[in-house]
Amino acid sequence: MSNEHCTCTVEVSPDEADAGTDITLTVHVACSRKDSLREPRVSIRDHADAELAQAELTETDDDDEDGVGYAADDIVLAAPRVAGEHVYRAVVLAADKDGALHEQASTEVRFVVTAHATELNAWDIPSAIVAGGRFKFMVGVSCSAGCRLAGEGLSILDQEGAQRGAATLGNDVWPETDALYVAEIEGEAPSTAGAHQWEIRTAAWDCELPHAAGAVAISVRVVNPPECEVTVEAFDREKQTPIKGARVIMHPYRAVTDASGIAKVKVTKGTYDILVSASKYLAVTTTAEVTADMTTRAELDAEPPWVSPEEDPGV
Amino acid sequence: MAKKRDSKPDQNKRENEKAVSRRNFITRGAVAGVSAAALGASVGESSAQGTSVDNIKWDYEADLVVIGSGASGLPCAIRARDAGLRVLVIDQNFDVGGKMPHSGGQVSLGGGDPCQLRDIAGETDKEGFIKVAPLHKPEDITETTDFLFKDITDWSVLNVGGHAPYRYNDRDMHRAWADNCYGTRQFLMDNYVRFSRITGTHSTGGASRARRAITFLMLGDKTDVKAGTVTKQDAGIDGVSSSHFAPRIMADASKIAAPGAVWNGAALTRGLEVSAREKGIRFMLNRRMTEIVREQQFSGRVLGIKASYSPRFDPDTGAQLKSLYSNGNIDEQRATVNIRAKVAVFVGSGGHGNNPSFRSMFYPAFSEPAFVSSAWALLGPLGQDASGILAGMRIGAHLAGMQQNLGITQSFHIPPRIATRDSYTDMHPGHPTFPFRRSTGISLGLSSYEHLIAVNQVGDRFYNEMDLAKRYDSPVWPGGARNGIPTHSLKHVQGDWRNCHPSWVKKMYDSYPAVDAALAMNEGSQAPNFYSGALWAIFDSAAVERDGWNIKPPFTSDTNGYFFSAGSIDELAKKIYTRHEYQRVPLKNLKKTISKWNTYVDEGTDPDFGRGKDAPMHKISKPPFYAAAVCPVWHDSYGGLRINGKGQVIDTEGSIIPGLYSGGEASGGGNQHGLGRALVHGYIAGGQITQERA
Repeated sequence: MSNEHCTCTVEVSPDEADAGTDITLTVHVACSRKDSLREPRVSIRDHADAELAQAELTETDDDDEDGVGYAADDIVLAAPRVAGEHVYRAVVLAADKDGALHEQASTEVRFVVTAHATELNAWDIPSAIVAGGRFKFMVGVSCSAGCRLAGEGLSILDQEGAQRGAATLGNDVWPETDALYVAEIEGEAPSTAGAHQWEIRTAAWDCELPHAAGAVAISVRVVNPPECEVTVEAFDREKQTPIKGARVIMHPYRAVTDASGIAKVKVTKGTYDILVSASKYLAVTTTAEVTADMTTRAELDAEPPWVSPEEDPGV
Repeated sequence: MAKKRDSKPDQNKRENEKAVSRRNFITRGAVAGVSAAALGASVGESSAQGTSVDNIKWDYEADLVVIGSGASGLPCAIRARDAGLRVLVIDQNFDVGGKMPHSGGQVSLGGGDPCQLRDIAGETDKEGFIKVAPLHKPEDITETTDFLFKDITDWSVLNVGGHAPYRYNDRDMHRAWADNCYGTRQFLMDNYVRFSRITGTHSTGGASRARRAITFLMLGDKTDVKAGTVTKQDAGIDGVSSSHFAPRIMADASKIAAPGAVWNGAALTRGLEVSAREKGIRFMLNRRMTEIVREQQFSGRVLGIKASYSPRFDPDTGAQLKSLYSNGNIDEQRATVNIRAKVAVFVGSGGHGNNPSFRSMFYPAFSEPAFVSSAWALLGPLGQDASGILAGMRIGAHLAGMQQNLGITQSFHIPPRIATRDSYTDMHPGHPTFPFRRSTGISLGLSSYEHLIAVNQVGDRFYNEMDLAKRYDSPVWPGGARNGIPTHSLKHVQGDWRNCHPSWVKKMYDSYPAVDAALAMNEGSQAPNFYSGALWAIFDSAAVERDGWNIKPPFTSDTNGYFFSAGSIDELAKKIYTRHEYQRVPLKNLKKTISKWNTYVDEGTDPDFGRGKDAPMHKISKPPFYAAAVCPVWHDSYGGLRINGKGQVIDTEGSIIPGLYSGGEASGGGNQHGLGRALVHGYIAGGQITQERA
């Protein structure tokens, strides 16, 4: 028995959801005659007409002289675990005088379920790797729905698509994150100098829920074997004390000074901008032509604590 | 998703609604009908009916009604009270002081003022607190008022941004200002304000002599402003806590005053406040002026004001905020009251930096309501809202100095403090208004910017981050290239055309319009307002480790929407979009921007903004990833009610509006920055009002 005076509308949020995550259905029923429904309820049914949820419909305060409106509390369901478009049905039920429920109206509820996205990041890749040398770096993978990814596999491909290695995500969640899983990867650098574009990929996992394939590009900077050692001394100009932890950049080479304020950078011959910076110091740059082992001294001025110019007491 | 601020903002309305909704927290007492007897001799409750303005019933009456208890209002009130006037000060905030408590307490006066004379003579202060020797040679601080006047109207001086901060200063106003510096300095010292040695000159205080002295107190066993002491707790514990006494931690003044001395605006504020209360001035706090009442809208005398109840409530507990001191307070809770001013009304209500509509008259891009004025948490949304200027305009007042916001670096800029909306200054837990900001903010040195990129609301970079927070200095003593002046100290020649010769200007120009880039339209800007949107510093855990940033509370907050962390860039972007009230659109380009940035780091060059030449570039790749809000601020206001040298407000016909005075940031006509301007204005007006009564 249908009720031609009533219509049902359902909003789904989000209308595109990760598989297995919560979706919220908001149901409204409008009837063109007052008192047309007795003890109304809404039933949410899947494609096989199996009921997933049922909720009471209560009269709303809508000021409509000719009709009456009903609404249910938000209905929260787990989205299907299969990616693709899904069609549910919302069925409005009302009781007859004997208390038996009868269908009054219904509407389709359409939404899209997507495979979980995976985001990859790679870090601690050495800025310059000697041709043919081995190097290590870290890769982290997270799922858009926060799924546990421990044990899932990664593959490392070079720019020709040849596999350069593989790794498995560890069991532990990376500190201060909700669900980032990581692997340490060891690779062998190409034998020719230059910037090589590699890619870290995940497969389209179907662990418990569907996951889309993910990838991140990395640049593997390969250099020829070093010919010279540049010793960089970082000192506080005023105090003449060594600066520990100063960053030395001779692109693409990078180093950090030790407790003696010294960093040794092994480079190929050439002209370099030597950039030295340290926390609470103003960075300095010098240009040097490196033809043999050499030492250079960088004297850094301490950065005064930032005080807005009008608040600097002047002493 | 959090509700977005995508319509025209009305912060005042928002907090008013909040205030009304929290009335239930108020325990009402029998204070609304407080009697004239209870008020004592200084202010009376009026039963007068039937004025010439629509039979207004005056609820209170005083000789002088001062709107705003800040740097112009308090001196005006005290000086008038000294002459025997009944004075009532109202303030929209719950405590006395306006912006003063958050200031540095740096007061540039000059012209041979008592602090200059004290240092010339090599004397200490009358209480003997000052132990350090004068910091300047006598010739560096010797001058006349004529000399000071020429300095602050010197047409020839430019700043390194090419603007002229003295050229357009109103001559009548500044002549009076120079003439009253001596009297103001002495007046302040007579009212529990202690000044340090003269140390340089405060921003836009003139280039030819040193004129700045800084307010201080001595650390002691108890806080006793009259005795000149403050406890360590009240002065604030470095890196830990502020106090109700001092919203910002007071700084070491051992080099400018004495070992054990501490300085900032709390020393100035509390000194004046204690003196005012002691002298019988009455305060009606939580009271916002809504209208200045004049006999006719555009003619006749100013009769008084209307004012509405504006209590503030702790956002966590709902408890009403109370002033530190209460003697002299009138606890009036009626929604509106009418206050008659028998002699005068003084408008010291502050500037317009927190009114996006008003400030956008000067700079349309700063209509973005995400960004606020300095001392935002301290003052609340009704602070710096242009209300005094607008009320004056409604009764015919003229405006002055409308171009002067644009010529000075203090007006708007990007402070090097991220992860807080109240970015101009820090504040630690301990002050009652800390819960409005919830985070102190991460204070960065300019070198720290090598560790981050800054993006706009769609996730695009917009400027060289190394230059983001750079601000040029003001052309002040001792001059020199950094201050835009070709000569140094005593060699500066007032009015010398060579000071602004094009060849010199080209040589010294050093301006970074980062704020203009930050406020530019972008992909996320939408009609009709085309807001530029929120700005974010993006960095990773490696940056935090490298530069040693403290990203834990109270420097950041998990709940205020100005700091986020995430295991992936997508997650970070999603958190920003869903949890920051002014993030109106997704940061759709953030992932691409970071990927591109990391490529630039690999290549050692930044073709977009030229980074990498003067500081290293670092990849943003090691989780967790962080986003901290970058908030430009509108600090000082220039441009407001036109006043003459007596502090009288002038109408659009050039006539005095009888009974109406103004000063400080509510007034316009000068590019002078800070406390020196406001304090002297109040001092002048207080004296003039006293004469008017006589």
